Amino acid sequence: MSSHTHNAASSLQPVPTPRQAGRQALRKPESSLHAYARSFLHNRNAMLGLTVIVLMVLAAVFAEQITGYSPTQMNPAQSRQPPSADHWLGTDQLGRDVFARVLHGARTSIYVGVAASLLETLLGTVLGAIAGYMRGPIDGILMRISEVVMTFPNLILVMIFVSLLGQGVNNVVLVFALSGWMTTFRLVRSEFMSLREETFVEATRSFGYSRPRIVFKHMLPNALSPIVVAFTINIAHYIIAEAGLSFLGLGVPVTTPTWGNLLSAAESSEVMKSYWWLWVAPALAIIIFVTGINFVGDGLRDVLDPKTRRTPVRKILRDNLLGKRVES
Amino acid sequence: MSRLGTDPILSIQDLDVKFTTSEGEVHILRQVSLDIERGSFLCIVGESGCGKSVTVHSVVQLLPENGEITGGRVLFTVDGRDQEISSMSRYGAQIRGIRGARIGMIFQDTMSSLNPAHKVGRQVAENLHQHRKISRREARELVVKMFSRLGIPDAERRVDAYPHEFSGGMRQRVMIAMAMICDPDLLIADEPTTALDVTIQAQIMELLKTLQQEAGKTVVLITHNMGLVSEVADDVAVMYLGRVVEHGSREQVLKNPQHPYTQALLQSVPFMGMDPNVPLRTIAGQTPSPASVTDGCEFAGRCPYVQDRCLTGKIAFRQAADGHVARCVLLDEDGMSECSRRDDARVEDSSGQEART
Amino acid sequence: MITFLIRRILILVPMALLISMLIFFAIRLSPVDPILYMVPPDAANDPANLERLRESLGLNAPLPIQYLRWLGNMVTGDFGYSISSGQRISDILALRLPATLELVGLAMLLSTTIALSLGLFAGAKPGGIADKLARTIAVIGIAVPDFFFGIALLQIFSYRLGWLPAGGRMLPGQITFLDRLPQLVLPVAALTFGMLAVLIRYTRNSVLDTMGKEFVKTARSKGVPEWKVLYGHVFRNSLGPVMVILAFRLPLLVGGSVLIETIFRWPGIGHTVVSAVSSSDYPVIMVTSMLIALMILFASFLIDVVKSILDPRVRLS
Repeated sequence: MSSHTHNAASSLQPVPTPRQAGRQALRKPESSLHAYARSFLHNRNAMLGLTVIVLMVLAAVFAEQITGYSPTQMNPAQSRQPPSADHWLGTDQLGRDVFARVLHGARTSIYVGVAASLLETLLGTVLGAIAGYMRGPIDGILMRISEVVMTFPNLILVMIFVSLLGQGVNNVVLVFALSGWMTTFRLVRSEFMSLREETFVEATRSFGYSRPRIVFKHMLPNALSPIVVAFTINIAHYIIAEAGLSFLGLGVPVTTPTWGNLLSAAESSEVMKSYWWLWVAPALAIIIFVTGINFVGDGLRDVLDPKTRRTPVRKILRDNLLGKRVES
Repeated sequence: MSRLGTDPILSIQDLDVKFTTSEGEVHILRQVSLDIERGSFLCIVGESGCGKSVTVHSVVQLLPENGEITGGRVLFTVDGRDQEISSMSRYGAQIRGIRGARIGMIFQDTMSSLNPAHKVGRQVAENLHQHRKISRREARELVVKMFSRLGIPDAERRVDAYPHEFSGGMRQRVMIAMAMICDPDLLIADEPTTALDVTIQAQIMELLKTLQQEAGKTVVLITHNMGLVSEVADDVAVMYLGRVVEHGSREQVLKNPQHPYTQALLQSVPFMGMDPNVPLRTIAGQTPSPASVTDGCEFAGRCPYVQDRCLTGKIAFRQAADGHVARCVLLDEDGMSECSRRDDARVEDSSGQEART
Repeated sequence: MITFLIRRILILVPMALLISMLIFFAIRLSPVDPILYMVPPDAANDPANLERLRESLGLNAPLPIQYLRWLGNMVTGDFGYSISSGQRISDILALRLPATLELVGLAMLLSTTIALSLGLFAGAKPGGIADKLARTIAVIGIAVPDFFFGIALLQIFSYRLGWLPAGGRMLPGQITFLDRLPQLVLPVAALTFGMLAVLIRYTRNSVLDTMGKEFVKTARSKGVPEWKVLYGHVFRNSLGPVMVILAFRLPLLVGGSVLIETIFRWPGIGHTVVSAVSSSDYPVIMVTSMLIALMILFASFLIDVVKSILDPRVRLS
């Protein structure tokens, strides 16, 4: 019987002193990193995704040690060999080892994905935090700008930027960030809009803290969960975007192997007819990596932000109001 | 066993309902037994979570997907024919022939219970079209008539309005119209006035009472408002933690409560006709989770008179001297409750002193 | 309702102006001499001639004035010339727009029909067959971009099996829609697939969410059979978020899908934009971007209209 446990009068809880209350309020989410980690470790899909990503990143880093071939070493005698024991993924038109090129391509592709996502997140977070906290005219102007940028089909906007800035790895990163910051901006903005109404922010204001300190030291940590999730998933998005842009010949210059540049082999009908491995290898690399990232992203979302899982439609609406990227 | 009835329209017998949740299976209703007299006005009272809403939802097979009737049965008797509702499939034709046509449901939150995208007239008429061969125009006329009868002003025009264009009280009238339009034998109202102003509340109650008295409907009202009970009920059933603990006429239950929980409940809320000199009290402790009580009397943990025999086995209904029933071992075979003799000590004072068993 | 619509339309105008400004000044700040895209290429060989033209075309006027003139030309339908081909841009549009409309229109129709029906059943019965199918498609669709799928289709059905042509839209002698059908199958399939995943997921979740609403229980309490509950009460109330996605896809009707059109050598707007960007054909870029931006504005307007139709509560506010 549980009778005894229910007998205690529960109405009289000790009233916290104002000082305790303030401290509790300031440390709002008891971000027990341990609990998060444990819950993430128990998420099978997320762990699978993480394993895949780590393996692929390691393979990219140790590309030279893994394969004896150089990605640029031409060997006309060995041109267009199908996959074999010598060349695991075959060779291309110029006799270069495809496996070596996929591994080296991973370096640039993953770099572009991570760097673009990082830069976008940085840009979107700073602007979103400012807009959400300041509100008023600054918010209005930033919102209008984000709407106008979002009005453009993403890929076309990227192409226009590229034609203005010129091609190159870091230009691609810059262009992706410039054309993609709005999603994070809106996410962070709405997060800050609701955060600034909370008691602990009120408390920091009453302590007379400076605005940057309130915004970045006290509010930002509380808005971090959705930002981290968005950052992760955006990596996948930008890796696919790089592939698309390079496929069109507008991305990273063809002299640098990237997954997208390798994939553009599929543009040749000759390759399509007889040398399928040339495009299948990079395509599979992208799909596997992107799936891994998505699994990790979903896992992070489940762990960090459980409420979004339970209210799918509110999230859908939010995504839409955020202007979920229009596919182009 | 329940109170002896002569002509029950609905007979709930040993009903068991379980819910599957992420924490496992929870036994929400345990052997709920209740006979509802034809033409009566029954109030089911109890604190939130006691299972009163689940009881009436299982009566019409409208439990949520994760809820399931696991035992007992529900008999619905109309035109001299018994129909075993509890054995019907959830969305099957049999139960659908009863829902709406024979049993009308009135829900609590009218804003979310009405489809925001359809005009109210259409929503009420849907019930008619479902159960009768009837033309659109005839249906509309019937709806307008029902609206006027239920006191919705300007009915001719209002049938073409959307739910959000009504006030809360008027929306509840629309809900009642929807439940009434097919002239059902039984009306079940699940806390229909909780979200309404007190004056509107009174109007809706009066309306339900009129429907019972003049149209001969049987009404089941779920409420936690004892004031309402004392005004409208013919019969009262008190539920606690998934079981009916006491059942009798309004006079019997309100004036001569036998179960310690009913007594505590009555002393904790003000209602019309109560002794103004008796101070209000609280019930000691907190309502335990339904999962934690598996054996014996569910109120034992908070009951001031708990005895060893309360803690194990099945506690059966016992009849009080005036003929109504309660599930308490203290109710002696001679029909006198021990606890009613020890009047003053029965409920703990609200000052929060330890309740001792 | 009427005032709501008018107010909504009035908001569009400043947005459109802002975008046109952005396009104009962004392109003007680039190093290409605008005279080159104002005249047909054969007239651009004589420098003296060009200077005279520059004066007469007003290119020496301050930029804001030039912007206003450009805007005036756009409004009156004078889009200028393509640098690379010398064709009138209006002629290019007349040629390419139908191709894109055909491709994207079909794909949108198909994907919407499939996604809505599958999403409805999946949401109505989570864990059922429809739900499993829906979730499989969603998972694959998110990991495999539509142009991968397009390449794979091309590889299998065109190069390997030889069942369907590898690209293009009209071969000589193919005039009717039925003649062109073989060329349409693969690009439409790829595009449909690409549109499916997101739409199915949103429909499913939205239906699932609506199924839990109180008014669904009310409908059931009237004895309404499940299919009617689904169709009459759940479906319509689930459409809101789905419509938003659909509306945001409308601009594809004029913009086309850049990658799919490139892969299947489909002579649509997307293809035009790619070649314009790679050959720095600024007038074409300006006009097509403006066109697409206008379509997106229109779509956002449409979203509000559809929402107010679906949910009468919106009309008041």
